[in-house]
Amino acid sequence: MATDTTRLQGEIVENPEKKMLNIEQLLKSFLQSLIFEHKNKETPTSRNKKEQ
Amino acid sequence: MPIRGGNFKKKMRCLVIQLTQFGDALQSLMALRAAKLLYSNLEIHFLVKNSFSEAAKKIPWIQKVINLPTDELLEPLLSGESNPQEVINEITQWVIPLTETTWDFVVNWSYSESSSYLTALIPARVKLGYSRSPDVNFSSVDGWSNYIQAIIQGGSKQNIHLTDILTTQLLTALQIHMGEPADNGDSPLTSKNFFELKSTDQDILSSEPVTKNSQNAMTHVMWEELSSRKWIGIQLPKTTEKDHLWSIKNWAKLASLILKNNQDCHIVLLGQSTDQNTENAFLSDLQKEISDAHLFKRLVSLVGKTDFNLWASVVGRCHWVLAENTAVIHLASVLGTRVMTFSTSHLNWLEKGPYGNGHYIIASNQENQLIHPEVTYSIWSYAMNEWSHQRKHSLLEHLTRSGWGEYVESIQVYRSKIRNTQEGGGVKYEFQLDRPFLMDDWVAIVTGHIARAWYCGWVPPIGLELSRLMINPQLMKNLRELKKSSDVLLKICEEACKTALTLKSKSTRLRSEKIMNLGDQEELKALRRKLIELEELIDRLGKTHFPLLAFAKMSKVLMQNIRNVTTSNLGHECAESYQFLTEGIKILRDWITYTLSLAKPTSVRESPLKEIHPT
Repeated sequence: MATDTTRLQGEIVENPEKKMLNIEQLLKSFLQSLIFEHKNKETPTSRNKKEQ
Repeated sequence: MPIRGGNFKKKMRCLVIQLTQFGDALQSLMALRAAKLLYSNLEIHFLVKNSFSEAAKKIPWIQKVINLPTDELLEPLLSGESNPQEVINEITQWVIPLTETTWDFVVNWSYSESSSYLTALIPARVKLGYSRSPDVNFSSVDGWSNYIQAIIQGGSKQNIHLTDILTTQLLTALQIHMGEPADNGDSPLTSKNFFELKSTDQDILSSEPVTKNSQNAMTHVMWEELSSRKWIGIQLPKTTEKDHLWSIKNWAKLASLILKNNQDCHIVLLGQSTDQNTENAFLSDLQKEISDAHLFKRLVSLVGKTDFNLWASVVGRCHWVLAENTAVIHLASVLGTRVMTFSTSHLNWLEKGPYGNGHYIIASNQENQLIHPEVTYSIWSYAMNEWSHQRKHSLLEHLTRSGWGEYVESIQVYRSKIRNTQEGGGVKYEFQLDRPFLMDDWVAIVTGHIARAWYCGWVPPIGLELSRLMINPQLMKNLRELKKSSDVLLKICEEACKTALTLKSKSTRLRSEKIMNLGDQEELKALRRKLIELEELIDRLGKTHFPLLAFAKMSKVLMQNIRNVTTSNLGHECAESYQFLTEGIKILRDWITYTLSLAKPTSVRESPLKEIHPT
């Protein structure tokens, strides 16, 4: 089977600095998920992890 | 744009985000080591939690270790001393230096929700792992990350070790973006000198061997003498963990058997400062087992006395490390020290077992069943003496001769082995005792094979690790059932692919996707509805036939990652995803056909003697 390299190369960002992101939302969500993982001592690669 | 060959000599800055537990972080080091050996111009920056930063700083080929101070950030918030906005401000200050220049690569190996937000915040030309799209939706940005999300975190059986997944993922991406690597593929990935450790003689000299009468007042032991001995490391289980596979009494019994029967072996006890109660219990139990005080002179306890330097130094000098599944088994793997460990039913050691050649895993066949320390000792002594018996007699024969033959029904023993490249590479775990080959085992092998076909482009022949001897009636029965359900799944995926292509062609022909006549609108709606129904059917099949769960989960992940939401692009990407699943299901069916064929009777050649002397 020929491998489709686009599936493997990862996300390529044409102009990374100009990628429009909701920074505030990302920071807030980062903190919330850090707290959740800290409290639950979640192992990221653990099996049966709740779906994203 | 992909970073290609012309820039190959240029220094490439790669940020690896590894916010996992200590053991997982250690596993990823082997993948990074492989990348650094092949791409010397790769400058690796390692973003880790506090608990791993001390260890990471000892690795000479890591350019910089960046520490995420989770406890310092979160504790004041959790105790009410600071508010969320203050913490967000602190995080912002911490993140800013990471965002000042664009990275060539950001590799997120944490596979957690929090790390996906962090990855999105950091600018990079190429990203691997979990991230977030501009609309802050979850995004798994490469094939192997889809596999981790769908198969490993989704609870399907598969047999590719996490270290192999990370290595293949990174090396493939580097090859695509940086070109062919330098020819250094045979360099060893594990080494006693993996970490750059400072001399810790002073620490060792202050530790003392244990005697029967006094556990702490001993004569000093010279370092040179210490390091030249044959050391067996025992990492005591953590006091804080409730579910121990083995009691302290069993560990003490095992240690006593090693000391009594192996005059040349010395034991070093390892553990954290919080494990001192366990240490006391161990020594007390050991005293009950050993009447000869001289034997205690061959035991040193470093429980609570080791920083990372000393811990790694001792583990690296040990011939064997015996432990439950804790970080030490990964540390020993990295340092090339052999490991014997125990498996619990909820642990998937196929993915997270000790990496390398010659490690042993002992598993109980039944939940909560005791593995006798005497049996464990017998297995260890077989493993320890492999160099002399060359495994010419089996473990079963060894256990039977030692008087433990009756216990082989209740346990299973696996030995790790690195496959050669013709067999697909990576670590595998071979059965050392006969046991029925179960459907789970079969599914794990086949899923691993499908993953290699999906993401490596090359696979070993079907059935390479399967033999006629493994086939049993229950497996045959399960496979016949699976054949029927996989036929159904294949038809659904083919139908979904066809529907998605129709959606694409219909919407491409429209002048606008926003303004269209009612007939076209209804037609597109019906096609979308049909795709949703087919997706639900895949989901239902996965839930009722566990070997198909991997496809159902993968389907969800692929759909979730579809970005271009114009109807024609949606149709195109859906069709590609169903084509991808179809290729995997066809491999599954080939495996079913091949395995069922192994059960068919074959003609046996008549004895040549009969031909000479016909009756």
